[in-house]
Amino acid sequence: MFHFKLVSQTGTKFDSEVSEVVLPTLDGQIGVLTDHMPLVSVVSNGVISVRVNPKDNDRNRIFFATNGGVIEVDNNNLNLLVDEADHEDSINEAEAQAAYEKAQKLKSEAKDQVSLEYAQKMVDRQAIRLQVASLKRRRHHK
Amino acid sequence: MTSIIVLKRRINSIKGTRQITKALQLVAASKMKRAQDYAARSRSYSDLAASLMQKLSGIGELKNYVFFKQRPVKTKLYIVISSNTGLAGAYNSNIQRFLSNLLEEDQKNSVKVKVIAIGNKAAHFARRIESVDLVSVYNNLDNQPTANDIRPILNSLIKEYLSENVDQVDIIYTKFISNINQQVSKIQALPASADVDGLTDNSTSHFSNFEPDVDSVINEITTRLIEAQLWQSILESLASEHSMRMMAMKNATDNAKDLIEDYTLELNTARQAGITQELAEISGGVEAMKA
Repeated sequence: MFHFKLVSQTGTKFDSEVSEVVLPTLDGQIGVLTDHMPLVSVVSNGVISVRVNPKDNDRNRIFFATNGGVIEVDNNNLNLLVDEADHEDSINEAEAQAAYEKAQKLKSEAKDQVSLEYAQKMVDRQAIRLQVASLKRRRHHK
Repeated sequence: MTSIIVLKRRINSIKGTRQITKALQLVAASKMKRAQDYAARSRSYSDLAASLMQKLSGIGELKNYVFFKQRPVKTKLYIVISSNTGLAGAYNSNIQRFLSNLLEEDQKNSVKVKVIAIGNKAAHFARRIESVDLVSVYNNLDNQPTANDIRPILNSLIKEYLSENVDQVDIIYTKFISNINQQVSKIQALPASADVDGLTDNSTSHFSNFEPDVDSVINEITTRLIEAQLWQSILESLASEHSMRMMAMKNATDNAKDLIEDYTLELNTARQAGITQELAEISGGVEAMKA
């Protein structure tokens, strides 16, 4: 077990002992377990999945959607600093779908480089949120 | 003496104003409370970013990284945080005065100045000054800004810095000291400094792995730190704005109350004078009939 703290600008989103965290980094997905070596790395867009109890199966994991940040692993502490982390419960699939479509539309209408970049960011973000929403749905159906 | 009708009209109009200022005062009070809570919640983010920075400073040679490198300052970028609307007491004029003083000094040192304005008031002010190059205006931040609102500002200030359009970036904001005390202050965002206040923990010597490499990690963390600074200053400014607006509106409400009292007194005197005169006329008439 190790300590996992997830901090976004709007507050601490998660702060407790966990057994496994899988997160997306620039170099690909990494899994962090107890006694991981000290590491500082950059998190990219993606889904963070947290297994609290080692005996929990995949269905009981907790998911967060994130759009980039920094992680620091040190002495069985995992600190994750992100812009935004949406807990699965705060994501409504229908809303996420609507937001995704809106972002797509924004992207297709973008005229200059700046608004295109912005729209692309929105699309990426909403895509991740959708992914988390569908993970959650799958779990409830099983 | 002012006529009774005019006085009555005046009192009614002041009563209307008092209602409005009272309402604004209450709104500002509740907004201030929320802004303070919001600012408190983001503190853990700033703390964590600062402690990461502290650890990084152990690697040494931080001075050679682009975000930390001191360049001779030829152009400065000020991020000025103000409000969109007035009626906030001295909030905006304090910022203006602070900025004017800075500009005077920069002119003496022949440093060119660019400004990114947050809030319409700062934009109005910057636009009037010839020597200032107003880069952009952000006036769409609401009471609870999100990371998405801050990102564009952050990106453009980093872009200006990396393309060497500017050599130093300062944030001008209103520091929230207490409910009745707010002060305009300046913090330097870039070039970043590795010694962050409030942290004395020097457990930096141990070895860490950096992925993908030290450069991208340092750049990312520095970006986070600047973001946290910017974020914190915006939230503090918001809290200050609301608390100053609340005080201003409270004073206005009190003033209105005083005025109403004064005018009511005057109205009563005028009415009494009228009655006395009427009575005098009547009794005068009676006396005349008797004669």
